[in-house]
Amino acid sequence: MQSNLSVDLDEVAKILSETLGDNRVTKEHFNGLETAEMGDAGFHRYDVVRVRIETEDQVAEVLKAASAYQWRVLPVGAGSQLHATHLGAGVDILLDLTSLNQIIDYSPEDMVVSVQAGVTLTNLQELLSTHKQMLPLDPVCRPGATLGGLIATAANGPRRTGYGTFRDVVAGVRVVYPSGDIMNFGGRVMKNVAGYDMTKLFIGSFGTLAVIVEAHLKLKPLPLHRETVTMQGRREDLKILQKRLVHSSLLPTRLEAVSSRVFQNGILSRSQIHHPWLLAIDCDENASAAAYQTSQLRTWADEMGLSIDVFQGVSADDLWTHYQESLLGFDFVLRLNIAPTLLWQIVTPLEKILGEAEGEGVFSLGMTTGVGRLYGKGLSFKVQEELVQQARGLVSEYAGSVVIEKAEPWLQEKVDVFGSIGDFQPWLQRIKDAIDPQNILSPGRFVGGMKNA
Amino acid sequence: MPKLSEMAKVVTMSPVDRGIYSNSTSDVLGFHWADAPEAEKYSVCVHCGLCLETCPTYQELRDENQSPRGRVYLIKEVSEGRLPLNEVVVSSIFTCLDCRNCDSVCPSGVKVGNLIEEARGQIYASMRAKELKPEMTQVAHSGTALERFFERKIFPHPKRLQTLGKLLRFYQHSGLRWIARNNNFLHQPIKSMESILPDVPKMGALESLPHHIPAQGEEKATVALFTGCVMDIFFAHINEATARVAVRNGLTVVVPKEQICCGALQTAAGDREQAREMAKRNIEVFMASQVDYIVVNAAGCGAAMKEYPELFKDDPVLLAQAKSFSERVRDISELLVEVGFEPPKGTVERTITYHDSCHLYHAQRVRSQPREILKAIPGLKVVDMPNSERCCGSGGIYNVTHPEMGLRLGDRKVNDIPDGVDGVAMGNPGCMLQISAGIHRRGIDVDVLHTVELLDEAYQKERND
Amino acid sequence: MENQSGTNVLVEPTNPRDMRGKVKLSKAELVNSLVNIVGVHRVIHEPDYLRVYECDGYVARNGLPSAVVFPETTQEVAEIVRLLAKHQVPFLPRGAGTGLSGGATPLNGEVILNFARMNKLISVDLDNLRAVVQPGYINLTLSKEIDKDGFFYAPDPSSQSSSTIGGNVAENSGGAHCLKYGVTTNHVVAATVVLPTGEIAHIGTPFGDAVGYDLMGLFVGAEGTLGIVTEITVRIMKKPEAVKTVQAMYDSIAQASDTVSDIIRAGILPAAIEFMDKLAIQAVEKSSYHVGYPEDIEAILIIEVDGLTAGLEETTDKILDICRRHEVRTVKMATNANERALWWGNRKMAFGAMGQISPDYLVQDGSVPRTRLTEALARIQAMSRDAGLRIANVFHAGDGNLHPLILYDSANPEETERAIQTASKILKVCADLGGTITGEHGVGLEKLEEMRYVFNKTELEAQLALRKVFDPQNLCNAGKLIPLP
Repeated sequence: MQSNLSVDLDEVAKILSETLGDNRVTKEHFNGLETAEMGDAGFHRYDVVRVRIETEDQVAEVLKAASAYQWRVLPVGAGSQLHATHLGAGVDILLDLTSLNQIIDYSPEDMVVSVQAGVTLTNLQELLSTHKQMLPLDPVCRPGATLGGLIATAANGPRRTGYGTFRDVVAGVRVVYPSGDIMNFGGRVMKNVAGYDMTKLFIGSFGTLAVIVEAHLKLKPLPLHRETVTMQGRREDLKILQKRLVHSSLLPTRLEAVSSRVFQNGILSRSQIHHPWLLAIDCDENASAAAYQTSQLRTWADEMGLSIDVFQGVSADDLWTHYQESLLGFDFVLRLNIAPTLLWQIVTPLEKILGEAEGEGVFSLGMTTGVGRLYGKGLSFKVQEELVQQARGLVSEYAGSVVIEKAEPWLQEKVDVFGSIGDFQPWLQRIKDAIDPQNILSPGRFVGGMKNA
Repeated sequence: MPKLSEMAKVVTMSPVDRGIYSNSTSDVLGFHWADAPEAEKYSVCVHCGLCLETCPTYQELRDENQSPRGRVYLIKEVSEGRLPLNEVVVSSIFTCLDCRNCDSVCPSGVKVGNLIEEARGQIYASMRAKELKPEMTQVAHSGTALERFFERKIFPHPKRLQTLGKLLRFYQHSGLRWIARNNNFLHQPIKSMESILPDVPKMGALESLPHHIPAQGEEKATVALFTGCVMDIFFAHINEATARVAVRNGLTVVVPKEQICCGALQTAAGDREQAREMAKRNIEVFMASQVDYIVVNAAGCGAAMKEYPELFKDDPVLLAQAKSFSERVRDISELLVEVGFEPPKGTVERTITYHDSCHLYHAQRVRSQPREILKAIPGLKVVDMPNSERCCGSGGIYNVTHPEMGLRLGDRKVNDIPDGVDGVAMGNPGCMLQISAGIHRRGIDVDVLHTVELLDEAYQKERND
Repeated sequence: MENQSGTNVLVEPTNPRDMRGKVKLSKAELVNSLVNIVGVHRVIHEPDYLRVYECDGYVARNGLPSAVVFPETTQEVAEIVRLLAKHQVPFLPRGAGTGLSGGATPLNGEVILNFARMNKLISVDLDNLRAVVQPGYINLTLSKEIDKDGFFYAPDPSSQSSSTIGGNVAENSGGAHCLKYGVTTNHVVAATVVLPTGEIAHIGTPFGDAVGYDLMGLFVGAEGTLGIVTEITVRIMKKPEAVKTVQAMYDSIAQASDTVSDIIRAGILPAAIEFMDKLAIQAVEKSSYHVGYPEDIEAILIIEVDGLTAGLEETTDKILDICRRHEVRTVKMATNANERALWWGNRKMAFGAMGQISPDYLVQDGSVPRTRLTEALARIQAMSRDAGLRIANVFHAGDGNLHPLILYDSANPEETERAIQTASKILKVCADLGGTITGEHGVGLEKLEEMRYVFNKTELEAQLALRKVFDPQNLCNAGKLIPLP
């Protein structure tokens, strides 16, 4: 957790300045976390050298030097995902990719875009929308979040219900190996089985294997009509609704059970909230289909006595923007992976802990994906730890898992971010060793034993 | 599910039980007799494997040697001289049910059934010439002696067949049956088959029907009725029903008295020489009757007669005659739909299901016609049978030569009969016997019926209504 | 092109003596040991009985395996692999053997682990949209099994009536409907695997995101070189409420492929867009899967959309309109399920139907960006003329995955060589157009050399390094997928 005493950062800065130019290299304090969001805890502050990258060759240069001198490198974009894992072993160089931000190739008819790692999701969506297309992913992230960072952390949001995650949309990547070799895997075509699907390795690898400098992304048509229905009811009614939806032909692209509080003030007024939970159900089909879906949901609502609200067009967009913004404000995020029908029974004991604690906690549960998130704010360290342990105890019976997606370092120090790892762990370590034998990339930023590699 | 050890007995998937390191290759190289499998037939196979899961023997044994693709591959290897005529080839070729399911699904149009029959012809000829080791004959058929006796000595001779029928009747009605059943003379599969043999009628339809029966109303066409052997011994009433139904629909029926067995069993066993003789006789007899159609109610016979030209590839004159004959052959359901049958007005109040005989569904591609007829019968409710086109295991006399496989497929078929039906209709006497045996084993109350029987019943009821 | 020589010609069966240097077990000891694990009736070892296992759906090269063993449980697979690994005996997994690139062809006297008997459906959980199957379970059987409840398994390779889900995992099989629903990798979420060392691992996760590197993603499409899947958890889906299928016949290939582009440009995401050219149409018309297409049609598109009944007609109206704007000769919608089944049967049987018009064919599987389709087709046509070989085209136009079928006669060695050369040139063109050499059939043996069109030496080395992580002794389907740099 300290800077590497054997590395002289001034020497690092000097060597890199000689190769890349003075203006790209600065020495600064780094606390391992994105300061604006987390506050300056001063807890793990140490010095690092920040290198602002503009070309992939520069990435290769830095990594070559790092390999030669055994410097530890952390690739970063906007830094918005840095809270996602432990940064145990410390780093010497921040490889800042925010300036590697060109759209390399966009061919709307092919529904593929190739972007550099530093392109922000917000900018990309803006560009795509002018061609009535979109990247169909909606992770809860700050507007500055870069695609490189989001891919490396496999960030995802409610849209995974209908569109999947980065592993379903990244058709190929261009990466720089720790050796400095630049490699292409996958490509711009929809289907590709030439060689191993190496692309998958880098998605969600938290920058521990190679630096993603470019990604080819599959796109979807921007829904011409947007319609979201929220239905509030007793938990038991929502469970019935969940089952009905799974067995129906309806086509929700987002289907989340959300704590109603998330939508309070902005979307639903206090008087519009009747129950602690609501189901938010999206439809990206055309207007006629969406109308049909809504009418079906209305029928069920009437039958079961649920209150229902319908949001169309801009107001549907506002609802999901509000969802994003409101959840961004939480500083503790747990992700539950478990069978969708079991989500409720995991959540109940967690709600009980939250009910007795200071601070706030809300949930968003993917009703068909089995991905549920607990968002906490103002919770004590003890409560956070209790929540993690309790959740892990509950899911362990069902081969589920609980991952800490966002927390302050002291929790990450105390409790493993990823929890228990399966019987495949030795191979994870061997993959890491094969690709990054000197462990220069994001050391300690990944599961289990790799912390100490 | 039978145990694996039992399954492997059916077809020796691996001959390890005979000692792991034995290598029983024979010296016979290639198919060197006339009428061999033709390159243009087996080279059509592109090895795609789409046939695998449709093959009943592959479904049961899961060994590619017992699949259509494997069989065609082996035939090709032997034909091109890379593999001797050895145990794997003989076992593979003779374990085939000749059900033609693979023919149906093959996108390339490989005629697997015909290739198998031709290969069997080669093996049969090699056996007769004593080229093959005696144990190879065991691999080919378990009941060879008895079976050959029937194929050569009984089926080709109508008089002997009729005598056999009479003997069978004597057996059933005298104390002989009782003695046989109570003294374990019969092996289990034969026993279960024997136990459900229908009572043999006093006289076959070939004897009882007049030679010429004029059409009712305006004559649409003339047909010659093929009465068959198994059909006429056990189900003469179906032959009679067939004649009545035909006449009722404006068809003048002729019953050529000199006709003989179609030869399907001989072709299936590889005795193509005998099959040719029988085909020649039938072609002669039926062509002499100068009818528009030759109508058959037994799917196996119909398929064999439609394929008579396969037997005469080397003789242009006979080939032309065989083609002209085959063009006239129709299954009764096929013909009724083709000339247009009159929907019956009498009602048959029952719920049945329909089984697709391989030789109707796959070999003749007669699929919709029987269903169309059944649907036209007032009061009759037809429930779909799952996997209705899967072989019942009868396969001519396969259930006698490969009793265990026959039993397994028969049981599977009976399990597929939907609940709540009181009858199962079909268009082949072999299937009728096989499914009856399965129903008997299972102990359920379901009648086994021929499609034509139901139509005939509906016409009969018109008079009563 | 050393690896592709000798089409349809048998190589000499592998002599066990050839392996003596490597293998410490005699053949007899090997067979005995296998028999000890699974019993006598699940080991095939006599050479004559092994002949049918010498190749898969790709027949240009073949080799005799040492033995074929039929495991029924994960434990048996692990025991077998441990035995083989201990004695350094090469081995490979085989499903139904319908693969089109030689992925299951033994060239090193491998022991084949045949999954034909490991073919059970283990469980279905409709409420959570998952099914667990053994690797030998047939793709289409799963959809049939859950059809009564209104669910289906989306990946639908044309071989789906015979091919196994284990084989689909190895090849990352696609299919006509993956334009909308994705390929195998998008539907396989977890698996039990036996690694080439004989260790058992559970990779992926039934729900959510797996912890650690995406080993499941890596295993799908690895062509059985990283290990053997023995239990697979797949995502199942609710069947769409309504399906509409449009058939459009064109007098010009360019007009047909422009139609495809316009449909996509209009923001419509069909479930499938399939393309057949004149020669392909003629072949299938000769088979029992004929539809009755006119002989002089240059191209046919089958376009399928699905979803909620409400609103689907608007979509099909748009499609019909786009077709008409492109000089379609006739365009119509399937009026019932039978007609739809007939059209699809015709399309799905196209490869096999080549047997109707040619003694042999080579199918290629290049993939190009959709916008380069017209150009790719024109260049294939030119190559067909230059080589004097007929080439039929039938492919997934929606996702740019070409399937040129090169017709030749293997009895003519010179023509065979020309066909192989042409196939390789076509792949070069696909790579040059920004595409790749295989979209769904896999590299196997067939496209090893062509891998160099899309990967440089370093990239190949990186992949071999990864293989070594899992298979340090290079025993598991060695020599497939990645060429030595």
